[in-house]
Amino acid sequence: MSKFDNGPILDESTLLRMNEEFRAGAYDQLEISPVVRLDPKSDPFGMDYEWLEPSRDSTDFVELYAAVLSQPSSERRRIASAAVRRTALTGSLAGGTDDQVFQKWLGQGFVGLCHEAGPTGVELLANIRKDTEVLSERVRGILTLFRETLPKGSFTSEEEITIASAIIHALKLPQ
Amino acid sequence: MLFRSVCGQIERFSEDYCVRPSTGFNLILFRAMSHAMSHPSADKLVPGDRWTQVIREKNLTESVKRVNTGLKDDHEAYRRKGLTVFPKPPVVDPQTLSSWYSNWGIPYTLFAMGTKDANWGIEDV
Repeated sequence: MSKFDNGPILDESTLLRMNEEFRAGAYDQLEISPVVRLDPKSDPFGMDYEWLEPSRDSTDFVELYAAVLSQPSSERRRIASAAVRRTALTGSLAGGTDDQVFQKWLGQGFVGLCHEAGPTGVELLANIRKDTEVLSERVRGILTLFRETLPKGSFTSEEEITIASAIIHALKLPQ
Repeated sequence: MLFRSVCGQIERFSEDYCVRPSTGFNLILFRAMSHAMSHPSADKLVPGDRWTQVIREKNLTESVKRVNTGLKDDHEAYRRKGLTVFPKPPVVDPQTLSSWYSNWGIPYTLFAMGTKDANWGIEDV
């Protein structure tokens, strides 16, 4: 019989007590040393640890969507679509050759956009239903990604389809 | 293998808490996890020993603080750019973080760090 099951590293009663202390705000007073970030110039291995960071120009989706949200609602989708497609095509997002990283980042950006702006959904759904199997396959892929990456219940099924169709639609539009 | 497993779990954690892809947060999380494993006198560890528990509790406390600070900073970065997925920064309590760490192979690593103890062998695992 193993003494070391893959269980908590502390016993349950200790963890419950720590949880209570945590909720009471005891941890707020705790001081910790800041995490030192390595400077690639002084790193003996010469690693560029920032390769996954989005670059600081308009390919940063958070900035891009913030800019999109400042536009009139009737223009938002067109502007966002063109920018997303441009970024997707040029691969100028750092790590853009990594489809998974790109898709996650793109998905999160759109989730944020839709969360803030409230998509109407109707038109986008109609668009996606015009196309058939190819689009369906791609939507299924994106929906799977959402379900793997977001907490359960973040969005309804219809919202997920709306978001997925918005991404597809964005990538299909000409510049 | 353990390192790859931990990297995968860190990625899952970041996704569950909607942290944007960032080596900065990964680094914070990795350091926090390393901190939970940090034992100045690892070869004296004995399972169930009071001293072992005290060290683990102290390290987990600091680890919770580090992770929550990282989550808060990430949320602030979102907010400054006018985009938030959550109205408030997500928070991880000690029990939840401990549960995450359990799946990251921490108990096994703690065991491995304490194998110098004559009374604690592979047959205990």
